Amino acid sequence: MHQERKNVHSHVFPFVFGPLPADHPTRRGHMFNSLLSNVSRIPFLSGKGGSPTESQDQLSPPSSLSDGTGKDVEEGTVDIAGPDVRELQREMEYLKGWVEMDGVEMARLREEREALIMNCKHQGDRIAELEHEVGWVRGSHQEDVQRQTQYIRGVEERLKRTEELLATRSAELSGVQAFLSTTDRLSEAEVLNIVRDLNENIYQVAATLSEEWEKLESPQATIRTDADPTPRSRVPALVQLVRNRDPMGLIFLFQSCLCCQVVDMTSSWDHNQELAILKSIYERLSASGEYHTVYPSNS
Amino acid sequence: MPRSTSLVEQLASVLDETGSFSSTQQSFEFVQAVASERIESIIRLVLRLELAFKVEVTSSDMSLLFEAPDTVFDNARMADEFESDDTSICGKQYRIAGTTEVGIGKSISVGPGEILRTGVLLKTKVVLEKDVGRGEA
Repeated sequence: MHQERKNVHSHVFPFVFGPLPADHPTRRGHMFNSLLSNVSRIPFLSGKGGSPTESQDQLSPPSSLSDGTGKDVEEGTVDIAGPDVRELQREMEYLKGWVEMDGVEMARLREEREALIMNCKHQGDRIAELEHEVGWVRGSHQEDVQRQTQYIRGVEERLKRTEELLATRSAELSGVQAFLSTTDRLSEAEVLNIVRDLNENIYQVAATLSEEWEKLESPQATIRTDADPTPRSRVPALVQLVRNRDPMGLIFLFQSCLCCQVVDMTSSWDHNQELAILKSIYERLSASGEYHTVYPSNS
Repeated sequence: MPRSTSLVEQLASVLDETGSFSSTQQSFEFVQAVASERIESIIRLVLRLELAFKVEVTSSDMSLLFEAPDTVFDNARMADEFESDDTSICGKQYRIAGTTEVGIGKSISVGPGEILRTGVLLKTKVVLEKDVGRGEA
């Protein structure tokens, strides 16, 4: 019996026994409680008056109540209950309003949910797209990193080879550098040979001239005393020998003149003591060490 | 003045001292006729030495040495034409009459601005006044 009544309640107010929405006002819960207390006063619903069969004879069958309109119930209440039923009707109307509002709210929430679902779908697609893009960028970045790494490795390899080559060349250069400033294209022995050859030629010229001069007959002219002999190459002793027709003295004088001349020809500087200004310039240049062709003279 | 001309002039002026020629032109012609080939050899050797001293020899500065007449003999850089043993004239003040063979001087510069170290690679050969008629100074 109690089980049947419970089923009826469940059939008429399915939302009564279900969980209330979280945002349902407390007042609505209070209204349900009130409604239940009123329902308990209906005889066939509360079980206090008549059998269910009798109640069905006077009221509309419970199946007719299930359409949710409340018409049959309202007709039944007119016949059966009076003021309680009207109060119940009012409460039912009130609840119907809430049900309609809940329906609208549900529809709005459904639309909102659909919109959110669509939005979520779009966001999901976008996330997937971005993940794909991120994956592509990551892959591209990794390729770039690998390429850069290989390039850096190559550059480091080349740098290492270059440094090794530089070290080798530097070592070679430092070894050679010691000879750079001292390597001659002509050895001292070769220079000595040239000078000996030069002295030999000077002697040959002097000897030949003296020999040929001896073949000449007596002097053809008087000795000219106005000649200006070169002081560096001649001294009166040799000149006197020559004037005395001494062949050996003539050879010495020839040699002395030629030696003086070739020294002047190979020298850049005239070390005439009378030119003091040239001497001082020469000494400064020689002391500076900037010019190889400037050297102190022993003459 | 060209070098060859200068050489010939020197020789001709010496010949003028002999009084054998009436003019310098004759002396010139005599020298050219007798010693032109040798003079050319001398000029070639002088040019060769000039190249060697100024270009080819870089480790040191080289120069030909000539001793002026009337200079006191110095055994360190001179050799006597007639003395095989230089020690025989050491310590004596002999003056030279003339140079018969040129020598070679060498100077080495250790660094810029430093004093040069000089030396003699080949002594100048000289004839002393004592050997041509004059004695010790």
